[in-house]
Amino acid sequence: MIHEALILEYSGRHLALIEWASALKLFAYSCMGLALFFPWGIAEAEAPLALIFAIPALVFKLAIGGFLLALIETLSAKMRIFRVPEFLASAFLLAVIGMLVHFLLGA
Amino acid sequence: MNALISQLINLFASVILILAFAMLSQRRIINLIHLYTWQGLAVVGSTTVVAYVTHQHHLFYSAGLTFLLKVILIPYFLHRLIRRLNVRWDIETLFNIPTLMIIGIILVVFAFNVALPIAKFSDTVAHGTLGIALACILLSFLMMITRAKAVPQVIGFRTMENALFLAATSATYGMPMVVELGIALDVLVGILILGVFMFQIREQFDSLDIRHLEKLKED
Repeated sequence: MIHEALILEYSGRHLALIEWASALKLFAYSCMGLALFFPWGIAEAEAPLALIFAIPALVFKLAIGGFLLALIETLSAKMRIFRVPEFLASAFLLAVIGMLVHFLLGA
Repeated sequence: MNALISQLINLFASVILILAFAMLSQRRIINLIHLYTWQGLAVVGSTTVVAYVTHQHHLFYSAGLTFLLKVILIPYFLHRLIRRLNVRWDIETLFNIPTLMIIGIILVVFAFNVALPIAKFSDTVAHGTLGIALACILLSFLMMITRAKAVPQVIGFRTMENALFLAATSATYGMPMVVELGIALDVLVGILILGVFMFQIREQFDSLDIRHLEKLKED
């Protein structure tokens, strides 16, 4: 949560639409992250039976992710919008360090 | 097995590097001490893994010594110090953290490039981490340069010692036991003396800002 006050002027079905959109966004991003970093139990192509196990695995991973998200949001109240450059710099830093360490150690 | 071990060593080294960056951009003194403790723990883990895989007994001792000193004793001293100095929740105004991080990235690139040819001569299991150790040394230099208060500078100094220890472990499986015992004693005495110095500085200037030390006389 960086700036939650943007939706203060909405209510009713418009608020529901916005919340729904943000829920969809969160779902899509967390599924992408889970597929990238915790790729266990994902059904492969042309194996429809594996979907039976893939769906509970995804639900389980999403539940753990939701728990962690709730924990983080409880521990840190609100990210300040003036600190956004710092967060972006940190993200950039992590990406660059990951690439550099990969070249140094992975080669 | 061997690939897993070397990956574990690389993981510890990367954690130390990330923690060095976290310390570079940390404002609160108490979080700085927590990060220092975690870094010490990562150094202990890396040393223990190297000792286990190379069957070097003295590295086990030095890992134990590091644990005792850098994870228990020194953080305890620092916690007591900042409680007595009453700077526990102090926030330091750093100039422009994104710029600091970019400078840090440049330093890391430089360190990796410098260390690459040196690391090729070494045939230890952890020779890849020499670049990371060098980068951590430069980052702690940067941290000491950019901090204005005394306690974060001391923590930056201690971070540099952590990184030097990692460099020694990765390049030559650590220093001889006598040297390590001497360094441990030095570290302990040094942190005590620096603590005394901080009280003196505060008594003299009513603040821990070391920029006051640049003035030769009252103007």
